Amino acid sequence: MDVDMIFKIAAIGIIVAVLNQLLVRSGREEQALLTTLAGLIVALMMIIGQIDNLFDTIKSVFGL
Amino acid sequence: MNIAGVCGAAIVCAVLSLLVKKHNGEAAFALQVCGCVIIILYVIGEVSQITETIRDMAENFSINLEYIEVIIKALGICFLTEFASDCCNDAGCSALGNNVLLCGKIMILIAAMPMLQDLLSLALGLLSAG
Repeated sequence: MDVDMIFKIAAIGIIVAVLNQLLVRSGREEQALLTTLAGLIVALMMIIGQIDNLFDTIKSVFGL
Repeated sequence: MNIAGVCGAAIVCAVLSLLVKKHNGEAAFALQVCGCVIIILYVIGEVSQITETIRDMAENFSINLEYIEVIIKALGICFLTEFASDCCNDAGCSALGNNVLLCGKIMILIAAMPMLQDLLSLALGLLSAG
């Protein structure tokens, strides 16, 4: 069980939240939005491999 | 198989998700999905043992293996649809989640249809014989 992934995604979330706040305070809303989007994409790219792995395992275990 | 590890991972994931949720809801959702996937991946390896045991038992009691396969397939469909529906519900799309559940039920019905046909033809055969 690789719990590291949970911590990595939490770290991405916190960093993106901080960057978002900084950029919004300095009046750069567009860049803040893009930062949020980039963080979300990075997190999803990390998860999608795991989800693929899970679905493949379920398919092979239950013979779907 | 370490149940304490699973519980710890779940609690840690919940706390981190709560921490992130206020400022970054998308990351909190990603965190929840990630936690679910990791926990299920951890436990799904053990399920193959159970299915193997059920197959062995069916062979010992000379039950038709086709029927057991249908049951195991239905179990797999339940696993997948529950996971997807819970993720959708977490994201606040309960309509999507319920649709996935409905899809799963229909798929299970389709998988079980040949069994129903066998049963009905058996009953018909008994009636015509009597």
